[in-house]
Amino acid sequence: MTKSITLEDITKIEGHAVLVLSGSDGKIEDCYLRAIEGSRYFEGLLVGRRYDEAYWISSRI
Amino acid sequence: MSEKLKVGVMDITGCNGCVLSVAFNEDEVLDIFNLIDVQEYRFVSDPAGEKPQFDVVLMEGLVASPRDIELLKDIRARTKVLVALGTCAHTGCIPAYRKWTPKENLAHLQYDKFDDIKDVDPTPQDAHVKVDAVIPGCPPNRREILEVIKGLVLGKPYKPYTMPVCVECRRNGNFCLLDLNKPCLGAITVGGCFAICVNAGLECWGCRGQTADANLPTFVKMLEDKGFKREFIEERMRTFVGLKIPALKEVMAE
Repeated sequence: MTKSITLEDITKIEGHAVLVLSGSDGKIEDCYLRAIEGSRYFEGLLVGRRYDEAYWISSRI
Repeated sequence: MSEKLKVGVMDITGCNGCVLSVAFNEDEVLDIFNLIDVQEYRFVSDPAGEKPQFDVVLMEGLVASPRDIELLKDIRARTKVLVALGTCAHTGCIPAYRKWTPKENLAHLQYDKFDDIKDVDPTPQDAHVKVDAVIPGCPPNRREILEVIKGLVLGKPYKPYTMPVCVECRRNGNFCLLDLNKPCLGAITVGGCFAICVNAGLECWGCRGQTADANLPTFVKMLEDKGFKREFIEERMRTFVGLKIPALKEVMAE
């Protein structure tokens, strides 16, 4: 019998995520982490900026 | 004191650095926890119960998804005082700079494959709910967070610092970075950070927001005289507090 466990908004991590586990007979068959936080597009914001500005911006990820 | 203040430390979209800054008060953290009753602080522990009522909530992060709006409104309904914690909460910080980024730079990053990630315009918290106080800074100064908590416990509102960064910077004996031809924004930025960036030889980017009496036209002209291009000045000033300086557009149009 397949069982599924979903942990909504798990704690003690940076950000917000949902952990979904499913499996049967004590064995995990599927496990994934779903990020539910808004997108911040840091990769796009860095395009075209000066090289000495990059670490100011990327350190805020 | 009859009853302890019920406090929540929470976050919406952000890097969790502000929430971490609360915990950085390592020497005082036990004393704080004796004074207040922390109901929810997901970054360090599981919540005490389902949907508790709060006296104070320190809320990090900007609104960038429909879930953020929902969460923010829910928390606002359950708390007496909402404190916006950090620059994301105050101005939208760097993620809000997306407003001035060309769409083609972002197109390849749209995660539309996943239905559960939806975007809304990046906005600070006060665009959606009433915010009672702001602790600015990216990241906020941990001492200032302590002062705010202290003020709330004693019932004496914390008086925010209003002088520019330069006041603390000169007191620290730093050499002026503008004299070294670096585009430091300290002169038009609210201090209270002990000029931490300039102490390390790095120019101020203005993360704490502009002072009420900032003379933008003169400041822009001064940077231009030093050889910086208008686009660069505009970009630099908008990176952290773009949404809170509508006056910049007029200054740049002149």
